[in-house]
Parts: sequence; structure tokens; C-alpha cells
Amino acid sequence: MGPDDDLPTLIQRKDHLNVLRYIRAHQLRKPELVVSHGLELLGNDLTKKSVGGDESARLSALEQVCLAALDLHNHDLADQCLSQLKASQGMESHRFRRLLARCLETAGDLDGATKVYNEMLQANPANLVALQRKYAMLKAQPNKETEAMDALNEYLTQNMADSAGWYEMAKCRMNMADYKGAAYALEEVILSCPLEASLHCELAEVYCTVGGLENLMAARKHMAQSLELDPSNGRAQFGLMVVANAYLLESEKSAKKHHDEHEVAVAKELIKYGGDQLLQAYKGAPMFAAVKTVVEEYQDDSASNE
Amino acid sequence: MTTLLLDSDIRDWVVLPLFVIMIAAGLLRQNVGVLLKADPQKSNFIQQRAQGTARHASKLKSGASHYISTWQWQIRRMHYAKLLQDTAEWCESDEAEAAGKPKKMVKKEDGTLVEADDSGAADDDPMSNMMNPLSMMKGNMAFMVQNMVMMQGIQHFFSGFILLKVPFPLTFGFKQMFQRGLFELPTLDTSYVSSVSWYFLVMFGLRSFFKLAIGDPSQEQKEQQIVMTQLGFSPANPAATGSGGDANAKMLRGEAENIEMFLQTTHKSKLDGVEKRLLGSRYPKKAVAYGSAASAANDFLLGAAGVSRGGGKKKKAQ
Repeated sequence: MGPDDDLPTLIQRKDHLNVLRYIRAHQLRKPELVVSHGLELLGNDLTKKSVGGDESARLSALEQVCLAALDLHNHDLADQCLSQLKASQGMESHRFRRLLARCLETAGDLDGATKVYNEMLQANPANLVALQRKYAMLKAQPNKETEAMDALNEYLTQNMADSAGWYEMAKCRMNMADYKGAAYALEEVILSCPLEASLHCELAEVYCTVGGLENLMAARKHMAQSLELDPSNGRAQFGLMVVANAYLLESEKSAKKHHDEHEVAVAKELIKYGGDQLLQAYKGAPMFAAVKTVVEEYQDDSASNE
Repeated sequence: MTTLLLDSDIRDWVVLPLFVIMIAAGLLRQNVGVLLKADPQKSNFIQQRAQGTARHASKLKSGASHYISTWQWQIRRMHYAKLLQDTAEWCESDEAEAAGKPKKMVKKEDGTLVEADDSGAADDDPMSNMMNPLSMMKGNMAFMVQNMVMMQGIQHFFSGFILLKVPFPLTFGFKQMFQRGLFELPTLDTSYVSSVSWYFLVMFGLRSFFKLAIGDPSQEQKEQQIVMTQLGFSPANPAATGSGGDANAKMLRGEAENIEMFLQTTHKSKLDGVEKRLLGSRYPKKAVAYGSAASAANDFLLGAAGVSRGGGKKKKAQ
């Protein structure tokens, strides 16, 4: 989808319609660009009749400009877009109602927006956007974590294959300090996007927070996986040292029968490896000295435990 | 078999005009089809949940299963089997039926929308949409009506003469189909056809031409489809919205059985070996030392026979 040329070319050519189409197709968040090109395309009072495509192109552009105006808190422009769309489509249009509810949300009228979404759900219970936005509204309010989580639960039971929804769940759980739940949700996300290095890093951090020998073992593995997928991931390099160190500390505390010599050796090697990667990455950088101190601390710690 | 000489008027007044008429008719049909398009159908609530759950559970079979630890995979295997069974039960329950039925909203005098009093309607038959002849007819009407009309017209106006000779030989069986109205001359070469067959030939041939002429749908139209799916409407297809709770439940139970019984229980995730792969040659070798106290404790035979086996630690490379 989207025009064939890339964005700078389109901007240079002042091809406003295709700039807007490109931004829509690639789901970029560039509200200033959208507003400036949209106003050029539709006229400063949004009344230009023809925009080079058919009527649907004009309406899509209006919708896009409206959302960008909300992003920039330009409520007047958003109102103008809304009235243009209402004149053309009317209150019965589902897309219009969705946009209206978004505008109400931004204006602070959360009750009004909830009412619109509830109406849409009454009329069509399979409406995923309404469920999603209800969760988003609760998330934006302080002290409503439990309600937000219930709303998100409702959305996820209806649309279990949505990996972004599961990631929201993970973040929610982490906020509420339910790290085991967060680990479960992150693993669901990994099942959908297994090759994402940052996800493995995050999951390892969560497992490390939960603690316990098995979880720390899993943390080590996921941190290693993150580095395997993306060797330049600095967070994973630090993380590998930390997690392996935590494993060493935990295995010292545990009873003798859980003590696995081989795994301890692996953990020590991982610390050395992480340290080496870090020193290599920071070579020549101003922070090198500080990083070296940290790395040596970890490596000496592990050496002294032998 | 001598070749027949056909009047060139036939070409001027029948072959080419028919061709032009059919192109025009096809374009007309496209535009009329746009006007008569049926409203998008509401997605089936139960089906949406069932399909989402099944799709999610099927991720266990994908390659991603090697990026979570083995024990997590096993846990999920059992959990998803149960989850699918539970969802199947939910699909069949009354609660799902009630939740899935969209409620009709009517406007009261003060402008608020309230639920219409629907207590009399007993019609939650999922097949009711199929019975609605109008929605199905609207979709295919343009094409069918036009087909009928054109065929009748051609048979009425252009019958009784040979239209053209197709350049490839045909077998005897095609005679009856292609030479209607030609008084069934038994000696006539099958390659000579009448006007109706020209109509069919052009109709099938122009399909690809129309795809080219109409072109790709614009980006806005593609986006509209995506948005409609998100808002809970499936594309206008009367055949799609037929599944009620039972069909979905059956599908889910099938998936559950698949996961529980047929999914490879000996799955070992590749995550287990990731540290070895990462460290490469730096990976510490597993020391199997004969005579060392720790390994003797683990090793049944040597432990039983006593620890006093030879001095040096023999390190066996793994």
C-alpha cells in the first residue's frame, strides 16, 4: 500500500495527497507534516472540493488531518474537520462516530466518549475498536489500574491474536508489580514476534526480578537469545552480566543438591563474555572508563567466588 | 471439406458490434455493481472470538515455539488445550448468544438512543441471513440479469447463420453446443460456430481485460476494508455469516484435540542451547572426571565402587 516514491521526494514535489497517503500507509506519526500538507491540500478552511482523487480521498484526508490536529491539541482545526465530515457523512457513519469519540476523548469528555463506544458495542458487539479505546481511556486516567486491566482482559478475550494487546497487558502487569503475569504476557508476545531482540531482553529482566533459580536460568537464556539476535544490543550486554551474576548469587544460596557445577561455569563465562562485548562496544567512547569499572567489578566478583 | 466463404457483412454487422456491445455491457455492469453493493455484514461475535483463540493457540505449532523455554511451551500446551475446550463450551452457551446479538437501537423523543423492545423476536437463527433473498440477489443480480438478457437477445436477433470459423479444430461433441439454430447440418465442420458461442468466447476472454481496465482499487478503498474489519464488519458476503455457536465449538474442540494429542510432546526448544551457541568456543566443556568426588557421587557405578580410582582427572571433551 502507499505511493511508490519515498517521503522526501514526495514532499519536495509538493504532492500533498500522496504525502498524506504515504504517512497513512506506513503508519508514521508526523502530525505537523500532516496538518501542513493537509491544509495545503484541502484549503485553509477545508472547503476545497476536489483533491486529485475521488471523494473518498478527500474524506480520508479530512479524517487524517483531524487526528493530527488532536495530536497537536489544535481543537479548532479538529472541530472544523469534524463538521466537514458530518456534513458529508452524517452521524450514522461508523467511521465518523469513531472519530467523534476520539475527539471527545481528547477534549476531556471521557463520559461522552464512553457513551458513544457503548452505543457502538450495543449495536455491534464485535466492534474491536470500541473495546480497545475503552481500555485506552482507562489507562490514561490515574488510579484506575484494575479497571483498565479488566477492560484489557475483555478486549483480549475477544481478540486473542493481537500481540500489541498482549504487550499492553505485560506493561499493565509490570505497573502493578505482577511480574509473573508480565512474564506470561511477554511470552505470548514472543510467540507472535519471536525474532524481536528487545522482547527477549525485557522478558529476561522480568524473570530476573521474579527471582528463584529456575527463573534466573530462563532469564539467562533469554538474555543470551537477545544477544544472539542482535549482538549490538547494549542493554542485553549489561543485562547478561547482571543476570548471570544473579544466578551465581542464587545458586550459592541454594542447597547443595541444586548446585550444578557446569551451569555455574557457564554463568561465569557469560559474565566474562558480556563484559568483553561491552568493552568492545564502548572502545573509544567517553564513558569507557566508567564502563570498565563496572565490568571489572562484575568479573572480579565472579572470579572471587571460584 | 471445402472452406466456406462467409459474407463480410457478417463481420461488419455482427462480430465487431457484438464485441463492442459486450465491452460496454461489462463496464456498465461494474458501475451498476458498485451502486447496488450490499451493506457490510456485522461480524459474528462468537466466530470472532473462536477464530482469534484458535489462531493464537496455533502459534504453538509455529517456529516461535523455539524461542520460549521448553517448560513454558509444555505449560502452554496444556493450558491452550483447556482454554480451547472452555471457549468451545462458551460458544455453545446461552450467554454467548445473548452477548452476540446486536441490539436494535431506536431514538426516543429527547434524542437518546435506547434498546428497541425486541422481546417478541425469536429469530436468532444464524441462517436467517441466507434466507434474506434481497441481500444475496443484490450482489449477483447485475451479472445474472445481464447474462440472461444478452443470451436471449442474441438468440433472437442473430440466429440462423454461421458467424465465424474458429481457428482450432473441435470434436464432434461440440457441434450441438456451438451450432444452435443451424438446422443441425450433419456435414458442417464443427469449427463453424454460431453467434451464441462467440458471445461465450468473448465473455470469458474479456474477464482479464476488465481486470486491467478497472485497475487496482485506490488506497482509500483498501483502507476502508481494513477499517471496516476493525469496526466489526465482515465484507459483504452473505455466505460468510452463517456459522452459529455449534460450528465454532466443533472447530475449537478439534483444535484442542490436535494440541493435546498430536502436537509433538517431545518438543525441545532451541532456546535451551542458546548459551552454547552464543559463547561458541568459550562455552565451558562439561567435565566428566573419573575419580573426582563430585562426579563420583553422581555416577552410580563409580560411587558404589568407592572413590579411590586413580589420581588424575581425566577430562572428557563433551
